[in-house]
Amino acid sequence: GSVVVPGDDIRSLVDLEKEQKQVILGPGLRREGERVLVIKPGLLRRKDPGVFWIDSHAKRYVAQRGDNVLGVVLGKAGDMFRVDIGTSEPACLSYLAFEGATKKNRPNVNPGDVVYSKLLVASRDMEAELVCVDSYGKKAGMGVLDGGGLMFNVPLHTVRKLLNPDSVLLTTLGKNIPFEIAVGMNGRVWVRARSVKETICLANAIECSEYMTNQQIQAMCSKLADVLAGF
Amino acid sequence: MSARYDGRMNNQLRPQKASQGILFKADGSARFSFDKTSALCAIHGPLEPRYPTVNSNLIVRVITSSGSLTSPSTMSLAATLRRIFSNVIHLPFQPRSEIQVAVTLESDLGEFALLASSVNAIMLALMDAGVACTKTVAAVCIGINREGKVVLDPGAEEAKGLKSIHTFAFDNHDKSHMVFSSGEFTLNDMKISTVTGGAACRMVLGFMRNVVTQKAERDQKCLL
Repeated sequence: GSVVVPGDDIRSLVDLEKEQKQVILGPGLRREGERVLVIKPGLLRRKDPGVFWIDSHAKRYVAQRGDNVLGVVLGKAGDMFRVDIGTSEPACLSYLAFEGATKKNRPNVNPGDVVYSKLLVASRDMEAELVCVDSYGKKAGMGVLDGGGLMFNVPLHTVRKLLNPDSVLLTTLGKNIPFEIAVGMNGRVWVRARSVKETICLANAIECSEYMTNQQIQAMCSKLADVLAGF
Repeated sequence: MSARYDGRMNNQLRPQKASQGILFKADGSARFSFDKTSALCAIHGPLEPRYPTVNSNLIVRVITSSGSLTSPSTMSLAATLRRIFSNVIHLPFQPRSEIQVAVTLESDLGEFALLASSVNAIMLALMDAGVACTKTVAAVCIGINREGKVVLDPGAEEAKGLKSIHTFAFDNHDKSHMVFSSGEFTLNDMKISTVTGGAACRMVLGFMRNVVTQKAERDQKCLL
């Protein structure tokens, strides 16, 4: 793709294919009357048929509906928990949005807990709402993450790279160090391994993989395995 | 045309240098310099606003190299920068939030060239942070010397001997965003310097586009 800056009009690139009936504009693009304006700088990408978006690197998260995010519980407010997910205002998480929660049976969530949840409502005009339950009413891996572990911040593009099916980082690390991981689309990652040393090692590996290719990642993982084994 | 104090011709800018993503804690950062006139910018946002607002808030702070934050010149520079960038940042896109811009002027001399460097540094930092903007602006300093000739990007000492000095900011749709002037000049002087300013800003925009492209290409190499 080509690199574009804010204010560029990419209409000429977008209606190139005359037979396309529908053009979908993803993140970073905005339609203004007849023009298609770029509002974030980065690489212009397309996916057939007719999906265009800007691949831009950022550190600060803006809430998107459907994202799985890691949050920290700030406190209780009536029937809701206030959860910090790294956006400009805290999100809210209802008491009843947990598996098996009823008015009599409240979930065991305290301020300071790390929660893995899904964004149900996220628009720029409204407060974001989280849920810890899927549409079948099951937990699906969400909820309070406890038993130790470390949560740390990474840039958003690193998270997307981690979750990419072509990425070898998690599988290579897992060969030597068994671990549990929760990846939040808000740039937060939670890992837990058997010991503190291994947990820190995993966190460092994920942070350093930001600018590495798959080959460099594999070299780094084998070096880490050697160090942990004591060589 | 005779050469100027550093061998440049009237229509030559000083060498520009820029880098993005240099500050670790900031959401976006950039440094831009016209030779030694350099400005460093850090962006934090969108953040929780300190006072509840319906629209998004833009806060600009300017710090001089000696650490002065609240002197009249830094406050007026901050107000000018805020005016420009309120029209550039897509504020309706992120309501009820705040964007904090902190500019550090890394040299003392050349107030007009510093204004230009600050605008460019803020723009590059906004692009580094991924803040939604509707345009890309670039700024350049233009002077008119005692012979009435337009002189591009005067140095600090050179600026003292000019009849008038102006800083222009244009965007990538060739619209003017700012004119900041000082000295004696006629309407004709203003017309000529506006045309030259627009052309010079286009050159600086091209340079900024290169900076963004190089960073994107380096980032792309390690994508999967």
